[in-house]
Amino acid sequence: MNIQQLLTNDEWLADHLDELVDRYAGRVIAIHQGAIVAVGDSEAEVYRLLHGQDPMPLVFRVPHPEDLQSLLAHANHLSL
Amino acid sequence: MPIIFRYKHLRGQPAPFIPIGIKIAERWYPLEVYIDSGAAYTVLHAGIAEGIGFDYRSGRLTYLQVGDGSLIPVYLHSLELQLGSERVTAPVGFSDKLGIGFNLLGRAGIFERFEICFREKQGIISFELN
Repeated sequence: MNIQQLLTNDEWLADHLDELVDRYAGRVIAIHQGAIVAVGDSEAEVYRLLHGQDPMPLVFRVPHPEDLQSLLAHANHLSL
Repeated sequence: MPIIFRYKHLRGQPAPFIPIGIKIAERWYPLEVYIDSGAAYTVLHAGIAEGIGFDYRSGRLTYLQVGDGSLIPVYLHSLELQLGSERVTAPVGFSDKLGIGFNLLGRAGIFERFEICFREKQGIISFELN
């Protein structure tokens, strides 16, 4: 696991999140070295596109802005 | 030395998404997860497992209650996670019924291992080993 690469990809994501939401909300993207290298409708689709890639890019499900509100209603009660 | 992550900002709203690695079948997969202190377990969309060919249904089946009171099936596996420079083993669930658009980092195996501070004003989340 290349930590520096993971953090670099995360920094890029943090810097571009609003743009990504504008363009890819609801979809799944893979980020590597400051670029989007795969896009799909699910993680399954993206990982199939990335098959064999090494190192593996950072995979992110791009939220809709309203998802954060629904998260408070749903996920905060995800418990046994 | 704490592990520091930046808050992401979505339309100006802070959101605690952080990057982690998850080890499945001897390979590391980098993912972005939402830290959810209300979630008992880390729960990932089943599509992740399907996409990499991991038989997630071989895990221990449990049911988690979601906000509307319904139960969703979750298959738990003990997996290695990477948070910053630290590696921990934690139960990780996969579900094809996770009705939200995020993968979640929950409490089990994580919150007892780290003291986690949400410092919104400073724009950071810190993880310090207990």
